[in-house]
Amino acid sequence: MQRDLVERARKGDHDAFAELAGAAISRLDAAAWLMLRDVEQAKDAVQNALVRAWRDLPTLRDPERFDAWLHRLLVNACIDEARRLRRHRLDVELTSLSVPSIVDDVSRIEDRDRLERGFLRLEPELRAVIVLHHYLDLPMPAVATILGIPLGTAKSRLHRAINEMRAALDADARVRGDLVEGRPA
Amino acid sequence: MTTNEQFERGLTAWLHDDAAFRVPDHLDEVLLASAATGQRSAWSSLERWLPVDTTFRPRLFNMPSVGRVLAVAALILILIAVAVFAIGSQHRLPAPFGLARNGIFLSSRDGDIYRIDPKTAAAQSFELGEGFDFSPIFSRDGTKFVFLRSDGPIAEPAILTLYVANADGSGRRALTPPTESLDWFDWSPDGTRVAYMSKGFLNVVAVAGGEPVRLSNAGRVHFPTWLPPDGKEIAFRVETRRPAIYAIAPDPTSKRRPLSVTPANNEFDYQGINVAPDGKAIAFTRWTDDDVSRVYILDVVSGAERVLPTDAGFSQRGSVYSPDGKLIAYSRVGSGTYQIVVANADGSGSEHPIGPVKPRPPESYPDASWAFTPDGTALVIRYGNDDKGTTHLFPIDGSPETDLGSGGFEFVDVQRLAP
Repeated sequence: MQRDLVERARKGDHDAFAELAGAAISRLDAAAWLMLRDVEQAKDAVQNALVRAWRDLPTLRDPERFDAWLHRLLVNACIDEARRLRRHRLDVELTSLSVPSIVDDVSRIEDRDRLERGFLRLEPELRAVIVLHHYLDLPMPAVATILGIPLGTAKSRLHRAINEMRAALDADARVRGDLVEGRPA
Repeated sequence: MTTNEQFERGLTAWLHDDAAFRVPDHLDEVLLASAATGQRSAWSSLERWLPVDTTFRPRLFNMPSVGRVLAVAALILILIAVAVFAIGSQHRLPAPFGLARNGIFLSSRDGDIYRIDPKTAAAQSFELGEGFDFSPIFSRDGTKFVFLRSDGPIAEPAILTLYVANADGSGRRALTPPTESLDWFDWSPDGTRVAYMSKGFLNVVAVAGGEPVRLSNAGRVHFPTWLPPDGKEIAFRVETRRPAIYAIAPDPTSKRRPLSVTPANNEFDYQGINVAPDGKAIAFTRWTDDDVSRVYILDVVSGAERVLPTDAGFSQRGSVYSPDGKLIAYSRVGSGTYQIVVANADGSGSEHPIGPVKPRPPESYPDASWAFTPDGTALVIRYGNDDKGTTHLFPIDGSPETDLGSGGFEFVDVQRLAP
């Protein structure tokens, strides 16, 4: 079914493309949001990726690879947006620190905030590999294909991303501990 | 469960929870934007037919951008400047390898083959009959060229025919029947045969006529290139998860033999092979598992490999030998940038930058292609892969560059003439 839509869209059938875009936009939008953490920028990235997909569809060699190709377009669009926003992101990150809570539910929210802060510290390329693998649930060979890098590189990139996040969270926790105990961070 | 596994589970849960409430409301907006955007021609992407490394070989210009003919044609023709000399003896022919005198440019655009006079910058299309023609490549003696033709609407997979014509466009005739996924072709040194790929298999066809011969024993191949100086074998990359460089004699009963002995690092290894003019070495791009690419030189006799030096933090990609085999041109790739450089093929000395440092989009190859002129004095570099691309002639000695123009011409080849 999807192959047929891709074939039709490649030949200029915009209705077919609309079906493809409609089926993909939730997934793309969520992935872009996770990578960028900014509603408007995520929208822009999704729009850029889909418009480019429509424009370049005739050059897609293998219709079966439409999803992977679309993911690649989205990742590239997100990386472009993230680089544009990096300075802004740092500002947001610094102002989002809050005091720790001792209530369990709030602690869970706190954990999520810390995850988000750790995630935001990652380079866009590292965020992408995490979203592709841990959110879109793509196996690492597919992630490597989408990113256009060797499998070993994709694996090492994921490993590095996880380590950097953990290191960031550990550092965050130490800072918080110092704040709680009244010492300078 | 390890700590890392716990962390990754928590990370996955957070990602899914965090994205669960996203409700995209801009589909209509997206569709309005896409509906207002024209689609590119299938032919406008070289990578549709040829892997990226292909653009590092003689195909200096990318595929023509169909549909923008009128807007760019006049500008391109005006901007193409004198780069090489086209005069010369009509009686003597250049040796198949080594330095030669520069002849005309052979190019294609929008399905037509053009000859471009380097003195006047005038472009003249050949009268080659009906069909969508592209990727012309001169024989090594400069007397003929082959090109690809599609007889009908472009389909997937592409059905293409390999044609040959004399350098003046006369004598056009088909060398092959219409063939699925015909790709990467190379003239034999003596100009009597052409090797090409079809659906990943190696084929050889005689220019004088006759049925193409498939060399099935070669396996799945890429970059088939006749080995200098005599062309008794064809070198190629074996397309497997562990690629290698092999050679095979051009007859269907021959067996392939390995030229490389070092096991590949991964399926991306041994890319973009380029054979030295004396046939004793092959340059290729090696990818390591830490996302670094480097240019290596393979000794064809011993199988020994050596890497060309570069500065720390840089990758290298897409090597091309100079006609005399003394130099190699490749892209030196840094973080977000690239630059074409020339280095001694024996690894001595340092890299010599040619042209400007250019930005490189993330996760992409350098958006350029390059080759030496037949006389070895200059490098022709095309930046960009669409009708906004620009082409330059950079003398190796650092003399001022010549702007060869911009636009959608596919700059394919420079004719070799007798010195």
